[in-house]
Amino acid sequence: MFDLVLQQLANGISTGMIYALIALGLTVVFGVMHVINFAHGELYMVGALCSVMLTSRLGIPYILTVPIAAIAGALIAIVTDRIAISPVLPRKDGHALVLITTFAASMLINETVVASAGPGPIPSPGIGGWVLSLGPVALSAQRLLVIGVGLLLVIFLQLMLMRTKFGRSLRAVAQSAWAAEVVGVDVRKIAFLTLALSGLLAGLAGALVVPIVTFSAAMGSHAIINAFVIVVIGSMGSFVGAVVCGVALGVAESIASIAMSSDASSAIIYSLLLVALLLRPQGLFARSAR
Amino acid sequence: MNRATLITVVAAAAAVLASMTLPSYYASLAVYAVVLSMLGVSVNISSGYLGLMSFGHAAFFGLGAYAAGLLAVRWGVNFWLAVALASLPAAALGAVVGVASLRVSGHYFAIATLVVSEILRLLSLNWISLTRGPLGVVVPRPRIAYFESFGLIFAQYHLMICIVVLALLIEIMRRLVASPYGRAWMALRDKQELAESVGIAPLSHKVGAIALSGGIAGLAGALLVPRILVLSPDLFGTNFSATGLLAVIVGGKGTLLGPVFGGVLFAAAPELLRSIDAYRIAVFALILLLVVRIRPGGLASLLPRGSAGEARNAAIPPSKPVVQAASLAISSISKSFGGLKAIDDVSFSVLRGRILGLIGPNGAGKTTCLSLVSGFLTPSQGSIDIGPRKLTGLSAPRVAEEGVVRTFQHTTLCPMLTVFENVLIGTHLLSPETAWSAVLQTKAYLEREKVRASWAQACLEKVGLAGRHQSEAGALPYGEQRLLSIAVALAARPDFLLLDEPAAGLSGTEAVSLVRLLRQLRDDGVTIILIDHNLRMMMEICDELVVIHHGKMLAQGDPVSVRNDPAVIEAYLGQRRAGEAHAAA
Amino acid sequence: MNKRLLCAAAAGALIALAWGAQSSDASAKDTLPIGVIFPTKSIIGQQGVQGANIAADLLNADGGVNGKEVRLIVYDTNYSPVEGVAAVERLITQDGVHVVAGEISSTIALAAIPVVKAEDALLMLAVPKHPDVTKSDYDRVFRLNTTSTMDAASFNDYLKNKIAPAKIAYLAENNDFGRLTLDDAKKSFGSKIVFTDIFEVKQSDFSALASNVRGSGADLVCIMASNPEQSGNLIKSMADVGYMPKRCLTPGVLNNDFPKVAGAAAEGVFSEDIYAPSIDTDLNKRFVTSYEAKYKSVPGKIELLGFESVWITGLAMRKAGTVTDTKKIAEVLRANPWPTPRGTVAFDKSGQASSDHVYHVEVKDGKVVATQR
Repeated sequence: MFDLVLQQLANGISTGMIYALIALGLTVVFGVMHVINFAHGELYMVGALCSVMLTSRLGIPYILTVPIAAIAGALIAIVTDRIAISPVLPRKDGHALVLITTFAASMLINETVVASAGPGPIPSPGIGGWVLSLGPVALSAQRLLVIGVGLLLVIFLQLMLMRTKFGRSLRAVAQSAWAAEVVGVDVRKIAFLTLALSGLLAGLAGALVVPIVTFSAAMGSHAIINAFVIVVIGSMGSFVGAVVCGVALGVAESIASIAMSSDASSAIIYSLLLVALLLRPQGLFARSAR
Repeated sequence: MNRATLITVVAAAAAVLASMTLPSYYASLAVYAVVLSMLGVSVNISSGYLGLMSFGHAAFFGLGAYAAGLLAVRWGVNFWLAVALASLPAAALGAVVGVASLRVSGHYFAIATLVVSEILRLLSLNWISLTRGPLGVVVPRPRIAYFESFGLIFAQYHLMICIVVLALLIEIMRRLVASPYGRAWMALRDKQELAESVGIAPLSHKVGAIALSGGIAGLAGALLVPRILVLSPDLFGTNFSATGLLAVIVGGKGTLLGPVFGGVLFAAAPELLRSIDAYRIAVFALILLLVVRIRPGGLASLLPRGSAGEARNAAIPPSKPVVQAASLAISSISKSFGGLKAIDDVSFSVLRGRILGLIGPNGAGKTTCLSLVSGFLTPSQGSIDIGPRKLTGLSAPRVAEEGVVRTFQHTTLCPMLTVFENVLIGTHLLSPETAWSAVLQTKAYLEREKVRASWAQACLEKVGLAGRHQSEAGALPYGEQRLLSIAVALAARPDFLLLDEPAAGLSGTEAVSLVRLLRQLRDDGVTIILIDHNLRMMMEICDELVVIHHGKMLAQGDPVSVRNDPAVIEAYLGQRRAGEAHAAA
Repeated sequence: MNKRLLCAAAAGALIALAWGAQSSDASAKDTLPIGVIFPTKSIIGQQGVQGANIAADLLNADGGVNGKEVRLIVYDTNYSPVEGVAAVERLITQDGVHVVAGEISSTIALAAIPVVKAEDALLMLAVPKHPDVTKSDYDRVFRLNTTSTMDAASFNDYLKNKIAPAKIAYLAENNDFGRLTLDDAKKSFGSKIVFTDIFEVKQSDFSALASNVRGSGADLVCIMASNPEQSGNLIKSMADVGYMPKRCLTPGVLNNDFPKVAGAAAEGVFSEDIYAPSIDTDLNKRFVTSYEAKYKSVPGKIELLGFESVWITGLAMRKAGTVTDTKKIAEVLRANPWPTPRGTVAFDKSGQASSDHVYHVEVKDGKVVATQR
């Protein structure tokens, strides 16, 4: 029994890190521009598609496809921004309109992929099939990679946010785009870079996760709702919050699955989430100030 | 019957007649369009009028559908009766969500609603004995022999029923939105403090509105059942939630007909494009993008904007306020935030018909004092009474009911509404209204609306903004916005008017007319508590001054004695304004 | 002003597009339209549509049906009853179709039956597995797939007699199909079932489930998942935690995509099916070669059922000598056996198809190998 709990803890961390990876990019856009990007799940899907296509069609080693997928994600994000976000956001009630335009963009991206690559499934070899066994706990190499990259990413992002000029500008815009403009931050450029960064993270997540979940055109829409919940609960815009919340969700699901069916455990987790929202209406990880 | 109602009736009658000629496919498609429109009307209440973005209206929608279907199948209730009953559980759930909305707002509200619908979906998926889980419950087509005796096919009379219901809902919404209820929703959406300051209670209005919204969504779900004839858990899915919300945004948030346009677009566009089945979703996405890019105000903005009716006619004078003779007594109130004592044992009383000035340096606790009196903050100790009536512990809207109304240091208005609409919000307490009288537009109700309108106009005239009543409040120059805030507070017909720095930012001439206005109000019987930094003005206008320093009361008395009070002089020594005070003397 | 013009132009273009597409449909007078519904944007839906297309090609290669070229009108049902009902209604009332073929979901099939009945059309269902589908009071509903109950009767006997497991774990996806399979298994095996779980159709990460099923110590794991990315990932996750008991998929879902997704872990996974592409008949060879030529892959069971839904409809119309009289077509369908790639198919009174062969299928060296039982 104890062994099973340990194994599920490990599973939960890896599953949760997958959630967190998908949520990271969403959290940047949400935190800085206060925009819900419905197309984010499709960016993740495009990253995954890019990786599996390059490995299966062109025979490029998996590990090389990861950065390419990240760049592909960034490019699509920039296009999405040009079509669906930056022209609409400054308008009156822009934040509501962005819901429509990014929703439309997500449909367009998805339809394009289904029409060209088909609905799937396309498997990906990942970094190989070996499994790390530590006593009773076994984790595949790919899952270890996801956990490792996830941790490195969040440290890197946090450092960037705190230490670099770009990070400072991001935080300034996140607090008040108007005030940032006043003190000389190029808000349009920051918005553009934010979108590109979120696309980069989504593409990266897609390429890293696809060996575990297998590519299908629907993978983005399946992941987006969960990611959205994590972003909001983990206090919007906080990288650490997103990772903590994603991993907490993954661990909760895995541990709960020992005792009950997955539907029952989701229902209970959702109910707890609701109670938590009522008790801490500012998000679970929000500092008490504000 | 007024003109707008006539238009609704004629349009509905025409649609009903037209539906008799539609072939089955188009009639069913139209049913779906009407159902989505209803869902849109429902989402529009929360997301449009209350400003609470909901990602989970499928919870109400599915609950209505399941309630109607299960009542009919499991308990043999006539389906059409079941449809009427089905809105009840959905409305009850709405009321619960409404209570929750007081605590959870913004994106958290969206997530909370999403989670509620997800829980219901899981429940319907796993409560096999009741719902048959993922397979779903098959509902027999609820045919009505009476309609069929006229040769109508099912889809046609189903459509007729749906149209009549939608027309009713739109008419109800039109009347509610134009009533004190609708104004209260919009005030809560745009500036909750303003709403509370004039006596609009957030709890009852939000609970009522979201219960209504839930009930309408439930009705929509129930009316969809004869179209699909099978209840399946995807009725609770994010798909319907998203469709409802997006239809409202595309159609025009916070407009009467926007949700209808949006609903029709979302129902008709993907279906009519079936002949290009492979690309229909992509083309639909392009349509959505185009609509938003070309018409950011939503499809409803294509309609000509009717000018809102205003009451120029002040022939019906508002009944005089009942003057309570008792004065407002503040007895040793304290308020601490954490360890900091913002207000420490302050007592004074305000005699009726006078202007009391509250002065003190920045951060002395004047605004806190005002918030305590007006119910926005609860004192840690002490009591506030008007004669026998206790104000301590009452919420801001209740304090407003007792005749104590405040304004805010920072201009607090609903910027998107017109000047006149802003003042109408202030008339909320003028005469209590029930939702029924507003929906039925009873004679007495219409009479009271006229009174409210003319009183609002009178208040605008008092502050000298009568000529501006159709301007957008947010577009007014700063000084006029300050005056408008006073007009809004006046519209609540306060016995005690609490003004927080009304003169800040006013030009010289505006300040002069403000002084004239305040004196006029006092002469009309309004008691005023005034905070301002302009000591010259304060000395000139106030009958009595209270000096607060570091949260403590330093002095109270007429301006001359306060000015000569040694403690006051000492407190102000070294202060920038000390010289000014002497100069004023 | 400019914007209004643009808006009007866009609206005009759209109306023209919809209108043009519609009238081009109506202009095809000398063809026989047959309606095909599937969730076309999903993997299995696409497989079904491709099978149906091959049937139309083969029927037309033989001179069409009653002198008319068969033309398929394919609509997406998107797993949604709302869209499914609308698609069927449109096919019958707008596109002049008398037979609607295809579909995967039993829920949508149940929702479509009243519509079909109201218009006197015929419904030839390909995949829906719920027994209730052929229990309606309408005599023109047919189903080609086996029901979950039929599957269980055959496969569970095989498991009991040949595999003889001591402890069984059952994992099923959360839909009508999965739930029924689970109920049937509980009836067949009783207390031998030591572990069951239901997973969401959207789920893609099965590590927690794999660890739990390992913890149960079952020596046979049965999986019911209609999409290969789920059955494949589940088997892969079990292998990751070092759990390789006897593993089977419930009948009808083991196809060539499965070993692609599961990789080496797929080795030895078995199931049974009513169809195998290796069947040595002329009709099957013709079906498989045409399919391979058009879609560059080997057809599986779903492709077959999609094929049959159109193929048998065409044959029955030929035999009945009518393409519009659905009552007569239904009578002919019931009265005769029909040659298809899987052998001979006959319909019972309720419209349920029988199947004369059962194949044992197993993954060997990364390929699905079928042997007749």
